[in-house]
Amino acid sequence: MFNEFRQTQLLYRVCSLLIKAQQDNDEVFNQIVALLCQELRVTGSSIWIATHQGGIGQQRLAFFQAGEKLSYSLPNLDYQAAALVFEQGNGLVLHNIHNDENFHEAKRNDLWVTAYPLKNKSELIGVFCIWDNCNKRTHQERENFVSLVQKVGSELTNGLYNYKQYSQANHKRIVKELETARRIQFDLMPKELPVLQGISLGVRTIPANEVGGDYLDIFLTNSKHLGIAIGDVMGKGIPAALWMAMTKVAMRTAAKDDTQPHIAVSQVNSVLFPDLSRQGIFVTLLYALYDPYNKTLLFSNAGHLPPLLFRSKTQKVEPLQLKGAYIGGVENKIYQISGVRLQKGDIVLFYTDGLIEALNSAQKQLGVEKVAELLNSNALYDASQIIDRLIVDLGQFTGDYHQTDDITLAVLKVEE
Amino acid sequence: MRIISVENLEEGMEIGRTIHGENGTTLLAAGVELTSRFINRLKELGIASVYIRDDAVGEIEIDDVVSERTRLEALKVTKEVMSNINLNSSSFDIQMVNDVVDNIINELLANRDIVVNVLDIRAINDFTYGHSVSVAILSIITGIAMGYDHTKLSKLAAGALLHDIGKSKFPEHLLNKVDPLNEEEEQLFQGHTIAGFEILKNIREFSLAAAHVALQHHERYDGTGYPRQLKGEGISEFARIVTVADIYDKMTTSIVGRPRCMPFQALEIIMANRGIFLDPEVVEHFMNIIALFPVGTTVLLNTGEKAVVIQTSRKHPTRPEVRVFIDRDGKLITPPYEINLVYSSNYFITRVIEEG
Amino acid sequence: MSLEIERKKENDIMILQMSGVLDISTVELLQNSINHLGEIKKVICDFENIRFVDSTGVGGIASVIRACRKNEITIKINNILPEVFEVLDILGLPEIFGEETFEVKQV
Repeated sequence: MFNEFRQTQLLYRVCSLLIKAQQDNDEVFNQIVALLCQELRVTGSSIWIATHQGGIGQQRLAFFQAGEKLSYSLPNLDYQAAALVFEQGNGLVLHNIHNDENFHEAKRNDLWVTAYPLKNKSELIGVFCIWDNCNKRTHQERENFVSLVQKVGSELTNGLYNYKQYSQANHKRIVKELETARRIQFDLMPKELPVLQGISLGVRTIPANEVGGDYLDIFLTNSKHLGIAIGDVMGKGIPAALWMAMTKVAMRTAAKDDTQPHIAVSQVNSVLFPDLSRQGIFVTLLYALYDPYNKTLLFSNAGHLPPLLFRSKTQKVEPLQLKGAYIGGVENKIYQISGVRLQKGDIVLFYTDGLIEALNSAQKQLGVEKVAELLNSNALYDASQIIDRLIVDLGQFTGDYHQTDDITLAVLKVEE
Repeated sequence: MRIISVENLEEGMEIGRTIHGENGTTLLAAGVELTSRFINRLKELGIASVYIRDDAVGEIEIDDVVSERTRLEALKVTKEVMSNINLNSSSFDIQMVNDVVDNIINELLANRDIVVNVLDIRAINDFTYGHSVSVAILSIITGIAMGYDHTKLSKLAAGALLHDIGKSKFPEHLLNKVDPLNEEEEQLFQGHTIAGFEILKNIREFSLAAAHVALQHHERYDGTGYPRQLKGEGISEFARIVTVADIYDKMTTSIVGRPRCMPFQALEIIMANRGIFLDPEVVEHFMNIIALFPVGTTVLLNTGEKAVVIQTSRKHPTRPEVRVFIDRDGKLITPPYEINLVYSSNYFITRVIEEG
Repeated sequence: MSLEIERKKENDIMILQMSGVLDISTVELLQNSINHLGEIKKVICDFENIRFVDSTGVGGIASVIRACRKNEITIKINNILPEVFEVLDILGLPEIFGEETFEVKQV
């Protein structure tokens, strides 16, 4: 279908367009996908770019669909294919997508896709998709096709990398630092929540533009109790992100053998104190250990905001008060421990100051009373839905006003 | 198609769903292009927001829980019954009520996992009739969720449809009064519960249990309501259901002097009042039948992109399916693409964009 | 949002009258305010008009206290609004630097 010469010619045209992209001109990518669709006579093509805005996500940089009328929505399938590659990090060649459970609405069985991961070294920076009607081509043609897609893909990788570098250089070095800090923070946040009978769990972090140093970890200990650690590093940017990493390691080490919370927190303080106090930095840390068998929650607090406990029976919210100096404040401090017994329907909300200090355009803070109220008026949902709801309420309150600090939430609800 | 608040309507926009007046007449038909006169008229009628066709978003299928025909029929019957009573007649054709109620029930029973995901768009002066029909529909869906059989549903529905029938005897100028009622007027107003009960209980073949809905729909679970300060289980279950449907519908539609809540905000108020004004068990069922974000709602995603809700589900109320149509730089995405938030945990809604 | 600091000297006591907010945007001003203290033996920070302190601000307060003590200067923070003190208290500043260092404004 496509001889060597025409392949080379096509690659040449793609490359020359990519050079233009380095002048921060993203329209070029639309020209590239259109060119590919015309020259290869395929159904559609797209380029997606990885973003770190609000967690790791994907943004469509370019899309082209040949032919106007299709009985299905190519943009939707295209989103799903790209999402799969971003999630798994591997390329995707699917001949009959309707057989694939990942495509929720594929109704056609003659559509095939090649989704190619654009990787710079090991970092996935984008995805390149080509869609076509598989009945049109022989097996051999398809093989050739895949190899061509790879060649175009590797050019796109370079092009996209340069484009990102260029657009970042345009936004000063700070932007790049920011991305790095966000990346570190994102990597440190829990990806998969532990599954534990009888409770529901939800977590979320909304990073501010300047990464604020929020830290959250959630894990099962050796005897299958649930550990939840939440904290806030003073300061922002990369230094804060690095201290988050240190705290996470120290906390995990201290907690692994079902260590009582106050002992674990004291140990974290002993380990981190020398460096923290020398640098004049501090970390707040609250560590809670939930025993699902007798439904007790033990906790110790180093300067962090007290979690809020919603009691299902009384429909009242109370803070889990326990004082203690921040990590890095007092050398060899022995922290205190406290505990509560939970009942069915009870909810514990762990959060960082970004939540209650969130401002609206009138410079008014959301405040802890409002958060307590919202907890009560969403208490019938499960933990992850409560988080979804709190976030919308927060957004409704802040409106367009920009977020200045990280916001981190973790919710534990006793379901049975 | 998407929901846009009336303040943000512009000339040339096209109506996406027909807007009906109090008699079921067509105020503005789908497809009509808005002029400044139409926009002003919508404002006068106190309509808060409307469905608008939007090429950037494209077509969205909206499943009415009850067909337009049945709803309009119910509206007609309610009006007929209530205005007849008003003319000092003390009776009405019960068969007419039963028929229309049965139609609604049969349509609702056809789909057991029904979620109310359409914004009810009504004029302020449509308060009684449109409201009655909506309360009946919401009550029936709640009853279905609570496992009611057809017989029980019929009684619940008749009571719900005519819960405000006592208002027929209440002076109209007071019904539409903007300022708070004075003590005397308030007394008079509260009497609509007893008046309604008197009308309904004297009608042969009208179930007494349904008549009690009119009497008790302002009672509160904690015993602070009226007229008899009944408490908890002392209030009939029908009335406890209708009370929730009644206040939900009032909160989500415009009333003179008070802004309308969005469904998710109204549900929060309902949930906060479980065990206080409202029966906690009814609330638990009710919250499942309402979509937090009705189809056509514009939402902001955490990525900074804007999207329109195109599909909702009972199981995942906070995670609808959305169509992304504006990127984070404010540019139109053509063609838009759809994300099911249930399968995309990296995405979440950060707020509802009311201005559309 | 900003921070204003007025310096008043009475013999060997320096009084810092502060107003505004103490967060990441203003914390440097606080830290600079105790430079070049010379013969000063005691610093009093008047927090009456400090409306808000975030965690970075608390870090700033801690470093100022530490810097003063290193130079053997007594430091006190007076007239702290109760809601501001709550932030300092949750973080444990009174525990770390001594209860006597902080004085809450009587309402």
